[in-house]
Amino acid sequence: MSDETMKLRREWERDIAEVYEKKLDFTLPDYINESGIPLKCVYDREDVSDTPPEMPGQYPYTRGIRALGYQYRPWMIQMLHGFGTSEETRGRTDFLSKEGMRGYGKDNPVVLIEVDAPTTVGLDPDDPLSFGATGLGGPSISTLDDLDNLLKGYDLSKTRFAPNTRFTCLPMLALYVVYAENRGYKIEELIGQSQNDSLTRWLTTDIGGPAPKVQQKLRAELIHYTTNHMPRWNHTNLSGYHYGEMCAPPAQQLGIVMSQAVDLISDCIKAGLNPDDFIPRLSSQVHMGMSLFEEIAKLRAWRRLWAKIMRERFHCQNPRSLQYRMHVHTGGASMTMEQPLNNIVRSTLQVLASVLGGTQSLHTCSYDEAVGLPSEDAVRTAIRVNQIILHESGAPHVSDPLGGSFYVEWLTNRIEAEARKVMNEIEDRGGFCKCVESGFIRRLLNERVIEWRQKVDKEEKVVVGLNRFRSEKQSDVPAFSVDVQKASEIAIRRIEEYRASRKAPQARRALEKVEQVMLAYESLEQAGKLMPALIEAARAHCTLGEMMGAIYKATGGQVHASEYGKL
Amino acid sequence: MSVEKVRVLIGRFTLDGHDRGIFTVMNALKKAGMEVIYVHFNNPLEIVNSAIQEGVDVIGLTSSMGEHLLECSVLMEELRKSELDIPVIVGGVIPTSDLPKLTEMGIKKVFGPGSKPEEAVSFISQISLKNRQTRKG
Repeated sequence: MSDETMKLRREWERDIAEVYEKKLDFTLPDYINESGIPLKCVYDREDVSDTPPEMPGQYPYTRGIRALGYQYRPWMIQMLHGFGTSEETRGRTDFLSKEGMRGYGKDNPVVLIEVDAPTTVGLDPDDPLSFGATGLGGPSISTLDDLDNLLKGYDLSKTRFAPNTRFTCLPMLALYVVYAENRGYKIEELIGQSQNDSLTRWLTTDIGGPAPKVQQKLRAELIHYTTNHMPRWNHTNLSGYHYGEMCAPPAQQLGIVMSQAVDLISDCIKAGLNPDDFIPRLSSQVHMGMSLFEEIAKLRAWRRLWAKIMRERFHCQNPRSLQYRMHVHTGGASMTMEQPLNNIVRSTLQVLASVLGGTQSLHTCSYDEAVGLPSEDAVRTAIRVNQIILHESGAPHVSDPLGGSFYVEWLTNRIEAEARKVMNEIEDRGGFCKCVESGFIRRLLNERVIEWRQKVDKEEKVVVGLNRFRSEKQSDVPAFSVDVQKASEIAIRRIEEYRASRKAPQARRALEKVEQVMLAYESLEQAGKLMPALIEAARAHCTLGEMMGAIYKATGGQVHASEYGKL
Repeated sequence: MSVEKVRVLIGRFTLDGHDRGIFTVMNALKKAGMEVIYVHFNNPLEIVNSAIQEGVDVIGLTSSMGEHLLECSVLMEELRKSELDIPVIVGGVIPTSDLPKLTEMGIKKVFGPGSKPEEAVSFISQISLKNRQTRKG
């Protein structure tokens, strides 16, 4: 430390000791952030003396993955949406696009679709288990016709189609490939996104499905297929969001996601893929909470840790393998039912943090989400938050605007270190998949959920309007409602017609083939045969539930397989 | 004389993945000394059957995807058929505008967003005590 710095710091310390502590009898607060890192009252040069110089677009990409950030192109405004029927969902897509939902530019539409729960697990709408859930929180998407309802008129070589599925990413991709093929597109032109992270969803939502080992095979299969045939397709979006919504603090979210990445990449190498061929198409869905600077530091640490792991561990040479892209989803669980307009302020802070942290893409929650799906008014405001920050605040004019801030740089280092600790702990216990199976990660999360509740009850954690500053008058936002019964009836009628109009023996043979291939898929080395069989099945007009049913039939699983024996 | 623990069946409907809220409620119930039987990934009939088998004092349901009206109406119908008088309460993402419909179905109490787990605990303990006394008397 230079003499000058030392002198100034001494003076500051004397001020604290003599004025605040002695004269004013003030005890310094001992703030600890969400990730459990104790904070000082101020940071200076000394705290970041070991931070190496770096510019945006340079390894390890703390300051951004490209030399230019939002000056070159703004973040994508991707709004996850879906409800009722595929037509109602398309209506919402059109509304959102009109209001400003887009990819990097106006000519790059995005269709980020939430499907209903049966579709995410692999049940057709007429399956008895789908009762009450069809059309809830998303449309049922089981057939080529359903996809057409969502996507007709879109140029599929420019449209980012991203269906939010859980276990059914493969049958959904098969349907999409065939749908695009029927419209005259080559599959190498397609540019959408598969979630391909069923393990996180399995772990955090506790809904049945294939065993984790089977899920590992499915995710490797999807990556194997797209890497070889669909070079522009983003095959995997590792979710940190679900952990964040279950109260995992920022550093823990990052640690868990990175441990999953290591596990997944190792699997793909076993499946015969070269890291530099598939890693560039990995990305993350990142949670955004209320701890402003910690969240900004998290995004910076996210990119840096990724770049280091990919270079040090997987010896990646391709720069794109090191440049990690992220889509931020603002925190749905931070929305309160009480005083709902406060939620706009929360979203604003979260979007601002995401932008200051340099995200590529954003989904912004709407202020009425504590009572249900967003209304048009509420979701328009969520888009406006992005547009105001983009066009009015000036925040995007300078790349990594907080780079060099003593506090933010120090915090970035600390979040990275804490995340590494979480990763090491998971790896010591056998890695991500083992820790999903053993329940270890779920226990970590459960502890956090209970802790959050206790802190809120004791007012150690303040949630404005909920445990402090409550108001007598309840300002009720009307809940957006969907005629689910009607949506379900329509979906059932359609799928019956779809099945009736196809050649049954051909469909049956295609499904038998899927089952056989899945049965023979004993180890990751055999990846690469399932997707082609599913694509054949989609061509034979098999439904999503039937395709997933054939997979379940071969592997077992808690979701009852749709019967295809009756064909 | 030892008093038998209050037994609560917590049910989560077939495909609803949200369990953060119900997890905190179950934790609070256990802390209050109650016995919790948790069934998830179940349809309304399965939930009623579990309640019968387990002889519970209260059925608590959780719903966060908007399935509450349909699933609760089926469940209440099944419960009526079973001729058992078990009080049913619901929590989760329930808009206040749906409260009259749920009350009409016979749901005893709704704990929507912003409710504290302790509110459910105290309601369950009161209603169980009252019902046990009525049965004895």
